Amino acid sequence: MDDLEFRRRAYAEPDCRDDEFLEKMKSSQDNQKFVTELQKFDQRIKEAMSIDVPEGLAERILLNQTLSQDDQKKQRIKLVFSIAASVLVMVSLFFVFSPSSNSNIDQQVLTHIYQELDHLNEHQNNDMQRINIMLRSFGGSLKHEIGQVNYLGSCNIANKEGIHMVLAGSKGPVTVMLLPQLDIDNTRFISDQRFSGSVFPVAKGSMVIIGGHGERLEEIKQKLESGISWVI
Amino acid sequence: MKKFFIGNKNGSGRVLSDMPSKQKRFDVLLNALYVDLFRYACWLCGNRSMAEDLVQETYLRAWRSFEKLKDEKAAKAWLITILRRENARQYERIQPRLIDIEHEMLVDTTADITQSMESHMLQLSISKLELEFREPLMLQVIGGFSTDEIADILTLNKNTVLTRLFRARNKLKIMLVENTQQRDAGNG
Repeated sequence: MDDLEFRRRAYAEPDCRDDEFLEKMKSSQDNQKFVTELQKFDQRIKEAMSIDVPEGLAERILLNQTLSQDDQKKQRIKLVFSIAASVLVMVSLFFVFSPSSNSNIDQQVLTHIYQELDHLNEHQNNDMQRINIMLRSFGGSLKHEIGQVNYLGSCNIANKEGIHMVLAGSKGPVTVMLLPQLDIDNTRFISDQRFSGSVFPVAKGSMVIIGGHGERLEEIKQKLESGISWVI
Repeated sequence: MKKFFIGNKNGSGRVLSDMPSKQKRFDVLLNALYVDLFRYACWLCGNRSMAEDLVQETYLRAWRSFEKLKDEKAAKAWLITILRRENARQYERIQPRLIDIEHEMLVDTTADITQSMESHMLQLSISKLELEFREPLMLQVIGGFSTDEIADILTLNKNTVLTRLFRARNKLKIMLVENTQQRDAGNG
């Protein structure tokens, strides 16, 4: 390697590890100095390129990804249910004259659970940070742990966005829906052959807690009510 | 937030393959690389908010095709390839307007004044480099990629990459000397 080639290479790749280059570098103090100076220059370039990163960027990326994950699943579900939906349209004609949009919340909640039954078997084990990111976008935050959260996503009940979680109960999965935008007047009990629970008013909007028959929902309810605070 | 880097020159990518779930692997990838990706995006498109959009879109696309990432040691190169493609798709049509790096992007409030001035002058010089010279330099300095890897990412041959890297540093040195002379002349 001649001097010119050495210098060009040093400019192109100051940290070059080729044997020929290293040998040439070690052959004279001037060469050594030449490379060291370029390495220092690189350090300065690196500092100059290190632009401040906006605060909370990682959290925003994570939130975006979590929400898109839900969108993807919803799109798949929409496809599968589009045929069933046409049948449901016929059935729903019977309810066209239903006086209140909130009157069928219990049915919508159960439908949502059945549509997303696979969430009952998830094991995401979400930590407080992830739950908080989701809660903050709805004006809430965690005061303390609320137990093991095996699924965290979004839901839509009566055209109101909310948070859909699956917690580990004493007998199996327990579905929790936080619906901060859905106000109801009093508690409604929800039950069918497989699940039972209720939807009830909380400090902001309403909350759904549903598990298998015989599940100790009261404990979970207390933990959630004391563990989540809302900006009203 | 805790930061740890998956360099191409070390073996920490191995840790990723032991992670159980897709979400956990994604979280590791996010925490390890979003800083470098954001800086890369800034120097690519010259605007902080566009850079953030690019990084957001890159991670979304990465999540959707996560199964394509076979070797997680190559995650950084993979993400940068997605980001470059996204930049080309979204912004290439309006690129002439964006070649001017936004001044506010370059302001660094953290460094002390002397260091800041020197760094700022270097930033201005880097921002004046044509993208064909700036990009391989970014990949080498921010990304820590080897010349062969840069050639792969930019789909150029190795000699072209070496020439561009040589010219990038050469141009920077010349600009810095000119700037210093101008400043001295101004003071005198």
